[in-house]
Amino acid sequence: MRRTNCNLFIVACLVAGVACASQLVLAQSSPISATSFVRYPSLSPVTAIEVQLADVPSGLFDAVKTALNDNPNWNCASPAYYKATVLNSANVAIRSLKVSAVRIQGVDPPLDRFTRCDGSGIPGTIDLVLASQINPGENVQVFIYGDIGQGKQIFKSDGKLSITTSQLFAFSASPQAAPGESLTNGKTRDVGQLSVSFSDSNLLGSSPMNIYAKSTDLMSTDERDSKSAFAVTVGGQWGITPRWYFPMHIEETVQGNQAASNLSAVTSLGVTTLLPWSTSGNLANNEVIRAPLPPDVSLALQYTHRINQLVTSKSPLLSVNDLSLNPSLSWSSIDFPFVCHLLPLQKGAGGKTSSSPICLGTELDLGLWYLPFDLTSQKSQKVEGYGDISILVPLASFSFASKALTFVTKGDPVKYQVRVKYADSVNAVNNYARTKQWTYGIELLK
Amino acid sequence: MASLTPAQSVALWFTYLRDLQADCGFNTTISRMDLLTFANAKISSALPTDNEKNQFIVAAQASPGFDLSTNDLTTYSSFEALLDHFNPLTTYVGVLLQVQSANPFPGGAAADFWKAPVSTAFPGGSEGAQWQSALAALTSAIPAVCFTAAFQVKVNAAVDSAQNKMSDVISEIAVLG
Repeated sequence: MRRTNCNLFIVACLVAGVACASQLVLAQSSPISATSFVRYPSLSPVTAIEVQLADVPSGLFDAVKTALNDNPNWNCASPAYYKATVLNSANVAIRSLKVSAVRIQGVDPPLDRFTRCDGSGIPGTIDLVLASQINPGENVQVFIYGDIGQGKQIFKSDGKLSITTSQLFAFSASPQAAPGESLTNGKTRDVGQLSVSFSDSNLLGSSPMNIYAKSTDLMSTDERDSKSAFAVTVGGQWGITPRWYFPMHIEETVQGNQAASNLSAVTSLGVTTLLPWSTSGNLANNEVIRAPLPPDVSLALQYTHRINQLVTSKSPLLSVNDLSLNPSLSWSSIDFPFVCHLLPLQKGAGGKTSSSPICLGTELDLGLWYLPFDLTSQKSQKVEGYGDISILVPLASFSFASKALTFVTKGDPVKYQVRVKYADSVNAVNNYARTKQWTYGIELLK
Repeated sequence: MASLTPAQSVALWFTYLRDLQADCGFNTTISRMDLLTFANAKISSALPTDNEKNQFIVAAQASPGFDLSTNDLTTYSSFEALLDHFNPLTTYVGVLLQVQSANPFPGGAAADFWKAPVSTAFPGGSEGAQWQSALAALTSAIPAVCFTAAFQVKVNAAVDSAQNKMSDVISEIAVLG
């Protein structure tokens, strides 16, 4: 909202053709905005209203200073000084939102969060953490008071704040008619179906880990309906270490058809992280190889136990137990500085050499599937490795690009690169079928 | 907590900027940048993958203590813009200049000071004693790489410009250079 107002103002300034730098700074914009973040290591989703207490143009900075002068006990960290209400389309307050906590943004060095405001714009921003759900299309107005009884209002927002939150809890049920639906016995008939879905992304509000549940089901008036299905999942995720991004998730899904003649339990577990690259020193940052960013590594484990199986001509009998272990690594932004010196400069117009030499970059993905219950023809456990490597060349290295490829580059080859990729991949969905493929392309650099 | 002086508030902003750079410590190119280059570095280039964005968010939660969303990392293109969203440098520079300005501004509202002509707030322009004192305070609070001699000449020119308001000078300084 704030940025839109600002952009409109810039356009107005340009149209009017006036010098408006000072007005741009002073243009009154809302210091209230919405935010959604994930608390770590619990990985719990949080929806909050951000209040920029240090914002001068809106008058909030001066209002806080005055509040502190008038009432030395005024505390920006106390929810008692704030009120948030939901407005309807006629700008009438229809209900109050519960502010469960105020989170001050910023630490008082070395490491403790600030506990109150000092009137000099420190801390600059606070978050009003909401305990109530906001519906799509509703607007929120925020009030700040100078006293705990909320009698002396020092600031109120414009009431145009819309908060788009991911729904913590969602449920839907849609009935439908399905004429000529195929049945598991090979026949067809007209049936009625009910599609039901449910999700709760945070079952336990203040848990040290994020617990979630979801279900996607299709119930039919005929239990032999081949489309009937249910899948119920309960999972949890949390950060293993408090200061390093190392999330782990564990999930249990029970799935099958309506009559449970097909029924299985799937347990999955996964972790992902970055390697601590600051310790790499010059090992990956020298004249031969320059890899400023660490590889992403992840590990996924999936165990499937098939309790009942409905064997038909189209679905053969599968093994009762399946286990797959899938470690993988993804590494981008690798350059080879020495190549820039090895490859000759491109010939430019009139036989002059171009100023940009040809440099190469690389991206790499590696992984493997370990399938201990899946035996090869030699009766050994199955392991399938896969990977891809991309060679990247900036299009700016080729002097012809700016003229010959204008339909692709719009005359600006600097923003584009050529990718030559070789992939030896394994498709887990298609019984680990292997494919090898070269691809070539020109892509836009973000 | 004890109240920070205006100079300490400006210095804290740069402490936070250094914290954000340290939070990118896994990117060896970013961690070797000088502070000004880092302030203007593109977030999308420094943190290209989801894991890198999330690692930065986790580190920033501890220091400088910001609850960032992944949207913040795309909404704000540079680290300076990101930090300004939580702690606007213009406010802290404005407070520092206000206490050094001519009467009646030091005891007044910040919004009024921002709207004031520079010639009223700092009579005598860049050569005036009050501006010289403000410049000394800025020089001590802002790291040299972000407030170079060449940049100070530019700021002084903004102070001497007859039509400028204080908001113009404050914005000029907060650009860094």
